[in-house]
Amino acid sequence: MSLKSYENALRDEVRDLLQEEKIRTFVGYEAGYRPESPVPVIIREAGRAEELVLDEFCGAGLTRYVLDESTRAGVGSDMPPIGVLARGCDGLGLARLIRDNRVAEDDLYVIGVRCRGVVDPDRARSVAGAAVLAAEIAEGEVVLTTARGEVRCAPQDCLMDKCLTCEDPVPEGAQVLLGDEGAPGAVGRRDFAGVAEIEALSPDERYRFWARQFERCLRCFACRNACPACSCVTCSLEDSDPEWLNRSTELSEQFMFHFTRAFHVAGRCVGCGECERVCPADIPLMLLNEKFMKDIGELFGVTDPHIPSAVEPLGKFDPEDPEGWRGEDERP
Amino acid sequence: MKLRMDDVAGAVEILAQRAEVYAPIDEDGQVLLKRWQGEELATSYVNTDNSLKTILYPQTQEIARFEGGYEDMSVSKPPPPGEMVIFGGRPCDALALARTARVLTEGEFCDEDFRRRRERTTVITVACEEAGPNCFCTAMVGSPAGTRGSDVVCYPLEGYFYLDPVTERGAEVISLLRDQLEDAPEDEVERARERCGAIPVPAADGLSVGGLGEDLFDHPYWSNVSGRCLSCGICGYVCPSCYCFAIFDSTRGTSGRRMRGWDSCQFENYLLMAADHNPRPTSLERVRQRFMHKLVYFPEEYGEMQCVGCGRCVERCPVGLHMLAVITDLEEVV
Repeated sequence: MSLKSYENALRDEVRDLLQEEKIRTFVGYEAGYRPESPVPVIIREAGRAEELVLDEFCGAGLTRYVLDESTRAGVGSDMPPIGVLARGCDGLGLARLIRDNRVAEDDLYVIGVRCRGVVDPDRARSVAGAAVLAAEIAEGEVVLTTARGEVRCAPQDCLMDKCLTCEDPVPEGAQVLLGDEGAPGAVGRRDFAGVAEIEALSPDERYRFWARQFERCLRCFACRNACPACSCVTCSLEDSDPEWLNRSTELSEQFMFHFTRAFHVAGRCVGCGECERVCPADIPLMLLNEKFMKDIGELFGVTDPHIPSAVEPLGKFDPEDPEGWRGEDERP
Repeated sequence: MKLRMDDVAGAVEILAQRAEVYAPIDEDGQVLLKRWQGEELATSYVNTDNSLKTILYPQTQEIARFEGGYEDMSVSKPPPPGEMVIFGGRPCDALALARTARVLTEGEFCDEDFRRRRERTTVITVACEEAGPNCFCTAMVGSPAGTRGSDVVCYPLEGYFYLDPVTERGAEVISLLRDQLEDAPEDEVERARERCGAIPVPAADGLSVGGLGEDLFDHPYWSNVSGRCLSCGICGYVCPSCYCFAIFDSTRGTSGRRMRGWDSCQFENYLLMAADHNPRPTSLERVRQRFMHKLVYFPEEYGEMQCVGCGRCVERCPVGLHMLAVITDLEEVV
């Protein structure tokens, strides 16, 4: 069944939770300007549960709003938890926020989705040749409904990029799960094929590739603002003294920005693909993030470096680190 | 006069001998107006991903260089901008340029850098044969065949561009290209113009922006809609008619450069004051400011819309908080 058929179940669940004050707010989706573009919404009143939308197009990341809600309430708030709709990728983002001590696990109430992927409205439109009104993701194909009828296409032709490499379609630790059980899960594999292509280039070719990408950067900070791993209270890239980064879009500053961003989320990126989805310059930011994932996997033997866990090679000191300390005197 | 579409590359080459030419170039799936250096010109685009603003009002610009200390400071200005020709922008972006020029050059204070740059630039616009799903120029008193803000408009029809010299500067460029051009009777030009002007612009149908006033400021709508804003700068930076900037220095040792760079009212620190006071501390105040400026304050000040309906914010806002959505919502709630 399509995800749309679980929409009423979601509304009922959220209405009850808000009415019984089991959650203080709910982060989900409502109808947007177009049917194929639902938008994030934060509701506080049970009466607004009717406005919630759940379908194959709900794909904007929601973890950011949970961080905002949690920050607003402050530490040790005695309010009921924040309710949130979560696909597998949102679930990893929430785990990231919990692991980074930015959101408390018991401050969350997760309504999870057994995800089969998110339909990219622009791709769907170009495949179908008309505005897409509805979509259903089945085994090995996607059925797009337009005003003129149905169009069938392969998942890789109309799903969001992040879904094509996703191996974690169902969020861990959800209080409720919606969506077909035993549904065909992720369509993709995180095989780092794109990273391998870039690695095969010569250093000069690689430099030219990234210089061309970064030259397009508008420095709009959307990649940072959408990222569940970029959760710092204040961002060092906005410091004015010292000014690590100035406003200039000259290439040196563009490299400074992108290297800082990529290194800062290295080992903490959950692979949700939000940075790349929001980028107005279409910079393949996940290539950088995946390069770190691949290296962490190979160098530290971590199987799934994007899954927040107790063992994060770049997230802790290990006294037995093979590289040792810079000097014996510095050993604590 | 008319120019065979197949001869456009030749015409651009001739112009490039006299000026820096910017033209639409396909790069990794985006079509960008970029400095042309012999690349193949992109032809199948509804609008370019960057607007004319990015060339005439660059995101990063040097204002002055300085060298020395308190006693012996020397300041030098960068050389004046050279001649530029921009081929391939759309009428909506040219209109935005004209409306922005009012802000930057009318009245007591004139942005000299912008004025000089605009005076040395020839804007050759290509009228639209098809509106994209996000286009709504006609609702913003623009037209797919509009001429305002352009020096030359090219109307495409049956393998030809029919050229309309809008300004004197435009007429000069046309005379430069006379060997490439063929004569065209005025009624043929008119036919091409009418065809572009009559294309359907579906997203603009029934869109109404009248009746919005300052009382909108206190409307609860803003707190509902701003909750989803990510406070990024996409809308302002892709917008052809946003013009906010900040001044900053880039220094090393005793020398440095004073620069100006785009700023966005959606950034949290846009209005942050030295004493840590922020008059627009949350996305509510910032989102409201963006739309009030476009839809209410600017029309009050200048008697016309600031938005030109290019659709870039519609296409690029990652959370669907764009001009089409807000205008449509306001029709319902106000």
